[in-house]
Amino acid sequence: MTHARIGKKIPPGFSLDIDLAIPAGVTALYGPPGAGKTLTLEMIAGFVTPDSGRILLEDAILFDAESRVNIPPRRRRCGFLCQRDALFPHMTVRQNLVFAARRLPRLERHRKVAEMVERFGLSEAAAGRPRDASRALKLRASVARALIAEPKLLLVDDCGVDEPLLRQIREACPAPIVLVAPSLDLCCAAGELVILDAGRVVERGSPREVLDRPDSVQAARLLGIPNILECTIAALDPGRNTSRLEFERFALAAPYLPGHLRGDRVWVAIRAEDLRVRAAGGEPPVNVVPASLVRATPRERSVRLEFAGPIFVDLSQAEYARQKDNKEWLVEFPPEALTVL
Amino acid sequence: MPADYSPLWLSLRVAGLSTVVSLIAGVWLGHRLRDNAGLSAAAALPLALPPTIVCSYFLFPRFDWRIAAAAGVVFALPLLMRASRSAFRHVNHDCENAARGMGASEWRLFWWITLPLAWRPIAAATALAFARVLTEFAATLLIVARFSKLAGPRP
Repeated sequence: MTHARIGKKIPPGFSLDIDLAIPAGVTALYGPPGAGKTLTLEMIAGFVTPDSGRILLEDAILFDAESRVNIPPRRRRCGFLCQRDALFPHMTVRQNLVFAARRLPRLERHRKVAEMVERFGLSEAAAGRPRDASRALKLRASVARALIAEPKLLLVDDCGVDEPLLRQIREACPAPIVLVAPSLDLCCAAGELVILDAGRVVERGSPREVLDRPDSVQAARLLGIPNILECTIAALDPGRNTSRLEFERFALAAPYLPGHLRGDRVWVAIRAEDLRVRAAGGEPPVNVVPASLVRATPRERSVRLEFAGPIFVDLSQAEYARQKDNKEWLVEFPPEALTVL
Repeated sequence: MPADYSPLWLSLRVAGLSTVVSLIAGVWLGHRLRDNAGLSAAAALPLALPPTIVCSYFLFPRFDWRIAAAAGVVFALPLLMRASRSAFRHVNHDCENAARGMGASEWRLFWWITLPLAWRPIAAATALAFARVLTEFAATLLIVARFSKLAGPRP
């Protein structure tokens, strides 16, 4: 079992208190800056001493505040990839790898270095200094160096690892991986997602489950869902599997909400990409609300429309090009898009 | 008249010995005190003393060039300690942590990572300390001249 239950106070005002079970595979930590993600990794690696708690790695105690056990970082066998490039600048890339392989027997050392050079495509850069290598190459060299030491747990801070590289790491590293994910796309590649905010775990579970059905307003906000609206349950009909939600300016039909009563105040999260828009007129409206467009902001792969309210809708660029001349807009809320928190 | 180079050799010997001793002690102290601002400030205090006062502590009855070198250490050590401490503090901690994560002992870490990354400012400070001791005239005047023929008989 690999498990970290750690507490740390950093004056003024920040305290971290988390309980993190680390299963095999990839565990992604996601949260805003200052949530305590890097601090968590540093405490597991042993670079920062927690005030309280216990850290277990494969059932071996690395840290225990009560019995004052604190194994030094060099004996923890936790590989650590930090945010900044940490290749030793005074050595060549190959010497960096050899330094990490020190623990292995001499013959095995060279075989392992050669294998990692091959696996991460470092053969051209191996003889040069890290400063001459590109950013991507430096990252791959850091990964190779961390894996050569055969860590029992790999801690990856937000250092620019993308999905293909993460897949490569998983192939080369049987140990559990804890990853600070800078984006939700990378979270989806993990087996477990933990959302942190202000030093606390807000939510955890499989990425699909957490991303599709966040269970608190805080988690929904952290996941970047722009439409989080408060409403009253006006009607509940288990027979027809429907309910009616009354918002400040409009009412919507939604699926039946088990565990709620009529008159309850609830929060509803709606993803911007789940909403649809169309021009006024045409077929009779169901779950459709007239809205006035405030602004349209082009994004990388879509266009975000902001309507008065505010309601945010993401459209594909092609769809926006087709609809941009609409005089009056209708926003359609598909019932399955409404997530009650 | 043949040139007498003995004062030059003496100065070089005194400056060389005191620089080597100060370098070893200064690097060690600088590394040990890199996170301790109070003690490192205290260790730098001799920099604030006038050279004549420092030298007056070394006026032993018998002249030995090694005593002059000891006086030189008092001048050179704070310089080297401050410079080493500052150099060690500027070493990328991520590099050191990465090495620790790979199982490097603190000894190995120091010789393979910390010192190679910090040697430039330490080398510059060593040159400065050598020059400082070599040209320390107050020490020469007080310690060496006391036993020199040039200074005349002792009062």
